[in-house]
Order: sequence, then structure tokens, then C-alpha cells
Amino acid sequence: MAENVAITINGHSLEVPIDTTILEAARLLNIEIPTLCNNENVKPYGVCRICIVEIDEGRRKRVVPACVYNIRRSINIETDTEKIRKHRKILLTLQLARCPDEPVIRALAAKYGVTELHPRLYKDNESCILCGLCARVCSEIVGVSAIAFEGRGPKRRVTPPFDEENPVCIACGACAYICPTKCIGLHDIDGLRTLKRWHRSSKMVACEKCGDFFIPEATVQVLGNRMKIDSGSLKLCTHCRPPVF
Amino acid sequence: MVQIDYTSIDKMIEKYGGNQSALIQSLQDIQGVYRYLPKDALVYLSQKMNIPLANIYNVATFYQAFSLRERGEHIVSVCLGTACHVRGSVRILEGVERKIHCKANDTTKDGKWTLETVNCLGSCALGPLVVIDGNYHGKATTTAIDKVLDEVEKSKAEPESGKSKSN
Amino acid sequence: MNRLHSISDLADLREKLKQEYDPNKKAIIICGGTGCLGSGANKVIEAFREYVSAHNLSDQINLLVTGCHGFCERGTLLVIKPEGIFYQQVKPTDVPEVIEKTALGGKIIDKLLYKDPATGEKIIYEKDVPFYKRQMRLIFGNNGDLDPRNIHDYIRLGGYQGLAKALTEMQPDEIIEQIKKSGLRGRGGGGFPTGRKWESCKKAPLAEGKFRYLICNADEGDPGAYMDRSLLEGNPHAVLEGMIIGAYAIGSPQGYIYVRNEYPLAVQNAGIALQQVEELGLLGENILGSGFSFDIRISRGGGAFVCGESTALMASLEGNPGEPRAKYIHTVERGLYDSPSNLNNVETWANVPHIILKSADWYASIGTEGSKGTKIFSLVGKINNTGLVEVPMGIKLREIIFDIGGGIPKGKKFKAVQTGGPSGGCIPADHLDLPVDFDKLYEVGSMMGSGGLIVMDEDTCMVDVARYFTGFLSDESCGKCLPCREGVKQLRYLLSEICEGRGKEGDLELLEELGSTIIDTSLCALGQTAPNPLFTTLRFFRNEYEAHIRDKKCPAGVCKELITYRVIEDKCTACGVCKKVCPVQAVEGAKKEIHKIITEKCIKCGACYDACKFDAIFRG
Repeated sequence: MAENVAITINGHSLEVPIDTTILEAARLLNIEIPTLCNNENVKPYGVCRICIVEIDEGRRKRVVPACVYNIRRSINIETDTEKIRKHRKILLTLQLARCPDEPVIRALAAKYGVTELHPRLYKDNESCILCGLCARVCSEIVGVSAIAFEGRGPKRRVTPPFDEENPVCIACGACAYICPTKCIGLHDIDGLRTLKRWHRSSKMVACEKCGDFFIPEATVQVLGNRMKIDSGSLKLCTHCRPPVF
Repeated sequence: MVQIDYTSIDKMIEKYGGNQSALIQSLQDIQGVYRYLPKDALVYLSQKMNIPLANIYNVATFYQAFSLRERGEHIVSVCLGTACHVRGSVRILEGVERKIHCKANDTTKDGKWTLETVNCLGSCALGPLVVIDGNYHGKATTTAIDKVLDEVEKSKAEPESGKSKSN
Repeated sequence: MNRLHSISDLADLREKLKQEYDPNKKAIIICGGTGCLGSGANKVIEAFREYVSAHNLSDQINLLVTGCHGFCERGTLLVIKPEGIFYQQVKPTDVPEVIEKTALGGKIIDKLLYKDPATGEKIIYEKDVPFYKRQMRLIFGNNGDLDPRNIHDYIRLGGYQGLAKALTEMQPDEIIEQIKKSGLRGRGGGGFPTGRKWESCKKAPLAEGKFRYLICNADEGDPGAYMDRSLLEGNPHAVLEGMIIGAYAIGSPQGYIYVRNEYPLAVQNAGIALQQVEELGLLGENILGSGFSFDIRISRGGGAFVCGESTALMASLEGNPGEPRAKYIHTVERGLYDSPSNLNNVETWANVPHIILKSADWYASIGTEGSKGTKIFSLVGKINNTGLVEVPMGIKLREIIFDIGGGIPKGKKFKAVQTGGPSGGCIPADHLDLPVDFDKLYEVGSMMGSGGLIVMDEDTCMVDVARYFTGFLSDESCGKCLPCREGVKQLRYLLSEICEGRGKEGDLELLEELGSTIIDTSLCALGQTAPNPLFTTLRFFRNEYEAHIRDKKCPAGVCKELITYRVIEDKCTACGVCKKVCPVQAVEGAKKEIHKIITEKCIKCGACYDACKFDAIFRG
């Protein structure tokens, strides 16, 4: 029962199925909206606020984040107004004050006109932007929730419980893959995988045929428990494994 | 390390039905018994309720009512609500910190005192308000509270509720 | 208690209770609200009970422990009926005299009477006390007449008649129409028209297997506001009755009361009330034989101000951290467990039975055009008559603060009143003639909010007040979204810099810039209103900010780093008290010598200032 809604973005008209997000709609028109905490593999979280746009709902105008706003009525959307640019600069200024040495943030900030740290703001030295993508992917895709948020407010951070190595972590590295600032510190060295931020390490299994390390033992255990796999196929790396078909 | 009574946790889980919506209630009950949330209890809860430990830890650290550390023998709460603030609660807090050598939201190393701050106890007529072991000490001054803290340190008597501090 | 199976069972019970009640029997009514308990009411209550029992007086005297009466400044409060004699600041040692002299002997104890500071007159009767006289205590008034732990008192006084009428004489849609017509607006701070909310919830599409939920928001987090606590402690049935009527109107089988963790007595009394309504059959399956079933559960908060926000509250009910979510789809459509949910504040629910029983037209005759009915306010801070006041909407701020509140203690000058809690703003003396209602206070950048009125005087530093609120909000921020978490943190940092003497030119402009982005881009109302205390104090007290930044001075004498304490030589009597109380031996002076404070050693704790009886310490 997909109803369509007629909207405009930056003056361009289009029709989208009801509940499409503004971000999705903009991408249909190849209109660029910056994001930090958004990733197509997990549900939108709407926390970095970088993707803000201005919408006109008829009675009033509002600033809303594009990634979590589901379109249900006819609205006019503007992605690059003076107000949006002003707010985005402040948001990036705040982000930069938190992560002044983080290259991805520096680059994004510079792109939108914030080239320096603000001299009056309190400076942190973080590399994590609290987008939550790591915890979200661990929960929604991997399904183990080895890490989650701790605390609230400015002291909020992502950790394994009690900030100790969590044995339910399968060391799959999805968190490191999805992290926008690469601050998790995943290293595979000499057959040992470490995820520095989570104090997690797991020995890697070496391919029986070629000897390359290709999968963490922790993952093997979980896969073996959860799925009916021919145990032989987990002893060979993807190169050496015979094709399925 | 405190001894956990696992059977009573089982009973509690049964009472509440064991799903996620009962989590905060369960944590409150556990803290009611042990005066804090012991790690072993949370690990057990995670297994029994089938909730990832990281999620339980998230809830336990999000809410101010929960403490993951053992609390002191005596608990001092200073109200930092707005009405108490304009009546000078910050100076009262500083006075208590000085007196018992303990920073706000911390416990002394000898386990004698825990000092907490609360964002309004709803007794604004008594502001500035300090609650010591459940006893309300209203219209507090640094000198008066110092005296009470001295008495508490010396005495071993059971605290009574609703005792007032005349000033 | 026997279960009631029908409306006539309820009417019979009421009649029976009224017959058994002797209004002429002496009753000593003791306030047992949290405030009076903190003033020692427990001991007073115990003393009364012991005396009555030891002297076999229970046939002659009824003892009634009630919830909060509202005049908290004067606790422990006592009312002796049927005359209505009002005693205040009662101590356990007064008990024998109260019983023998007044209750049995019919004579007044002068020293326990309230003295009106304006006229010097001693007031005998509760109804004549100026604090009460100017109020309109529709919702709160019953607190003084019933034992919150005894449903029979509530029923005897007419309780649950509203429910009976709703169930037997009205259809759900009619009830909603009445609520709409009454003009009732949410009392939690949002002020959303209640009838419209109920209607939206009722009309929201319901997926297979889902239910409509009813929620009572008792997570009263605004510091300085304790109206909801006193209602829930003192008259929980008023709230329950409203909820059951609402559930019937909206079509909800399950309700929740979410109570702040810091309110143990409210949790207790609401729990007892729930047990009793269930026993009587006023809650549960087939209420009063109407065919309508509804159940209520109590849930305690975990100590998080943000859980007063509806989506955060619902997240908490589900067992999660109290993280709000965007409300582009309203909670009346998708709320608790993704189902249509109707959330209202404690005071809002308590208004409902009155509207149903006495009619929407009656309700709409009270208050202003846009704000109908009464509102309970908590009047706290630098005020003589600290307490809870219930007044019709539209009353002027000046009346509440000076006529009912008795003005500022110690003859100090009024400076501002903070309304609306941390989401609101400070209103200065120039605007004291503003009527208090949902809409008028917006004009000066504030709001009525949940009803907290925090009065400030000349000794309050408005920059410090802004720093206080900003710090509070930063601590209570859930931390999810960037503008609130990082932005409010930076506001607090800058305000601390200013208060501590490190403010710089350009700081105010930076604060305004940050504030504007925080307002427009925060995820929830906590962040969206967080800059309000800063903005209103900037608007009305910019000169104080400039004094801190340019002159490094705190005109009100509050900010530690910018003030010094010194002895006023011609007032010092050399009594030595300041020297005794100084925790760091920063006062020198031999006996009979004018004392002196050593500035380098002084830690600005204020102990000497508080202790000096001769006003001989200067702070500034």
C-alpha cells in the first residue's frame, strides 16, 4: 500500500514513497548532504546533526536532521540555506573542540569553513565522535552487543561492560570497519588480532592450506555454535576454500 | 567481595516476568539489598534475563540512582536544587567536602562516608538541605552541619527518620 | 473491604461512610507530607498517638495524618476540626497542651498561632491565614481532609463519583468532548490541549496485537518544583480517578505511573492507593460492572531529569536508558512499545474528575481565555512563605510573590523570579504584573513550565544562576546528540570562566551563537530549551555579565573568585565567633580586639558571614 508524497528539494520536485527519509530522497536527486553518524547498514540514529536541512511544512519552518525525518506530508526542503550553513559551522566547531587532532573531522570541518580550533572553547583530545556506529552494528548486524554506551552527558562513551575485555565479542572487526574515524585500533599481527579500544584480543586461525591467518578463533566458535557449517570449511581461507557451486 | 544470594535474584526475576521492561526495577531491588550493584549480580542477571551484559551496564551507568561501587557506612546527600542553590547550597557542599575529606559523588577510602549530590528532594522550605543517613537537616549552615557530622562519626546509634535539625 | 460491583454499590458505600462520620467529633489533623516530615512531623505524630492511647482519648479525638497542606515554611502544621484552628511549627513537646488545652479544653494556644507579618495579627483559623485565603484550592484543597492511605476518606468526600458518572452516563467520545471544551492544557510544562491529545491517541491506527497505553508522568524533575510529589503523596486517588476516566475515554487497557526515584513516600502512597482501588473493584476487570477493564502499574525512575521528557520516559519504561528520540511522529501514534500512548502529568490527571463531575463550562469559567482552570505552583527560594499555592490562571506574579508569598525575607529587595525550571527563564521586577498562564510568559522569554517559581533577591548573582542551570542541564543531558552534549558543556565552561574571573570580550557573543545552534539543532526539548536561562539573564541582566567580564566584579557578592571577605571595623564587637568558626584559621584578633580576616588564607567559605550576629562581615 505504498502511497507517494510530492515534495520539493532545493526547488526540484519529486515523489517519494511515504516514510522515505529526507536523506534518502536527497540521494535520489544526487544532492549531497554531509553525514557522520549515518551508515546504510544500520538504522539511522540522528545524533551528529550534521545532516540538518530546513523544511517548510506550511505552517512553519523547521531545522531537522535529514537521516531520521520520515516524509509523510508534502513539504519543501532546503539543504543549503544560510541558517543551515551557520548551524553546521557551529556543530563542526563543537565537534572539532572535542576531537581537535582527528583527521576526518578536521577535513570535514575545513570543507564547511571551520579551519581552526576556536580559541575560547574547552578542548578535549578524543578521537571517538560518539556516533555509536560501532555499538549499533554490533547489536543490529552482528547480534552480540559486546559494546554499548556507558554513562550520560559529556562523560558518555562506548565501552565493553566494566571497560574490560568482553568474551562475547567475536573479534569480527565490524565495528572497526564502520567507524568513521578509525579510532578502534584493530590490528592483526603475527596471528593475534587486537581491538585496542575494547581491550580485546583473539588468536587467529591459520589456513590449513596456505598458512595465512584469516579468521579469529572467537568468530569460529560462535559461527560453529550458531550455524550448521561443515567444520572443514572453517579451516581454509577464502582463497583456498573450494567454490560452493 | 560481597556474597550474592542467587536464589533471591531468581525469585525476583520470576516475580517481574524476566523481560527487558523489568530491568530497571530489578536493578533497584538488587541495589536495595546490597546498597550498590555488585558486578557478579549483573553478570548473573544478564545470563538469566538473556540481556547482553553491555546493555545492563549501559542502564546501570546511565541512571544516577545506581552505584557500581560499594557505598560508605554513612551516606550524606546535599541537595543542589535551585531553591537550595540560591540559599547557598554550594558553600554547604564545600563545607562537607572539607569536613569528611571526600569529594562529591565519591566514597572515602576507609569506607566510612559516601557524599552524594541530589538535584532536588522536593523539600524546598527546608533549604539548604542536607540528608545524613536518612535524617533531614534543614536550613543548614556549615557550622551546624560540621557539628552533626562530628556526632555521627562518634555515635553508633541507629538513625531515626524525619529527625529535624533546629536552628 | 468488600468489592463494589456497581455504581449503586459505590453510592451505598459513600452513604454509609458519611453516616459513620461525625463531623463534630474533635479531629487533630497533622500534616505528614515530606516537607513537614523533614521538620520533625514524625515525632509529633508519634507523640500524639502515644498521648491519645495512654489517656484513652480515642473516643473523643480523631487523629488524622494527611499529605502536604502546602504552607511548608511553617511546618509541622496542625489543624483542629471542626473549628479549623490552625497551629504551626508544632513540636512534640507541644502535644499534651494541644490536646488538653485546645482539643479538649476549647482554648487557643497563642504561641502556636501564625502571626501575619504584615499586620502583626495572630490568626486563629486556617481559612483566615493570608497564605491560604487568596488561593483557589480546587485540586489541592482535599489534601488536608483525607488520609492518603485510606480510600474510604476519598470516597466519603465524593471521590470516584466522576468515574461513576463517566462510566454510566457518558460515552467515551463525549468525555473527550468535555475535556476539549473545558480547555484543560497539560500541566507538566508543555501546555498541550489535553482533549486534543486524548482524541489523537484514540484515533491513532492500532496494529494487530497492540494496545493503547496511558501514562502518568510523575517524574517531576524541575528542581524547586514539588507539586506533583505532594499530590501523589497526599491525594493519590485524585490522580487514579483521572487516569481511569481517561483510559475509558481513549480505550486503553493498561496504564503506568512513572514516579521519580527520589520520591519514596509518593511511591509508597500511590502503591497503597492502587492496592485499595483494586480491592474495591474500581480498577481491574469489569470496573463497577461496566464491562470496562483497566490496570495500572507503578514504575520508578532511576534518577534522570531527562526521563521527564515523554520519549525518554517511555524508553525507561521499556527498561532502556532514558534516551529521547525525535518526535516527528508523535507518541500518541507511536510511543510506548511503538504503540499509541497518551502521556499526561500528575496534576493534569487530577483535574479530570472535577471537569467530568462539575462540567466543562464550570471549568472554563476559571482562568484566562487561553489557560483555563487553576495551577499549583511551588513558591521557593528567597521568599517568606515557602510552599505550594494553587491559584486561578491569570493571577499576577506580583500577587503570588508578595500577597500570598509574603515577599522577601530579611527586608531584601526582589531581583528576579525563575519560572519554568531549567527550560524557563528569569523574570525581573519590571514584569511582575505579568499574568501567569501558558502564553503570557513567553513574551519575556520564559514560560510557566510545571509551576516552579524560584524567587531571587539582591544577593543572587544572575550569572551564577545561569551557570547553575547550564551545569545542571549538562549533567542531566543524555549525551546522545552533539549540540546538547558538547554545546551545553561549552556554555557551562564559558560561564564558569566568566564567574571565575577569566571572562573575555567576545564571550557573550560566542555564548549567544552557541545557544542559537543548540536551540535549533538539539534532538529533544532538554537541549532545545537549555540556553533559556542564559538568554533570559543576558536579556535582563547583561550589566552583571559585563561587570564580571570587564571589571572582574560580582555585584551580588556571590562568585567566590571575585569577592573578598573583610571585617567592617566599626561594627565588630570582637566577640570572636568568626575566628572560632573559620575552618582555616584565617581570622586573627585577640580578645577585645577588632578582628581581621587574612585574605591570602581565606577560602571564601562564608562561615564567618553566616555566624556573625552583628553584620560586621562585608562580602563583595
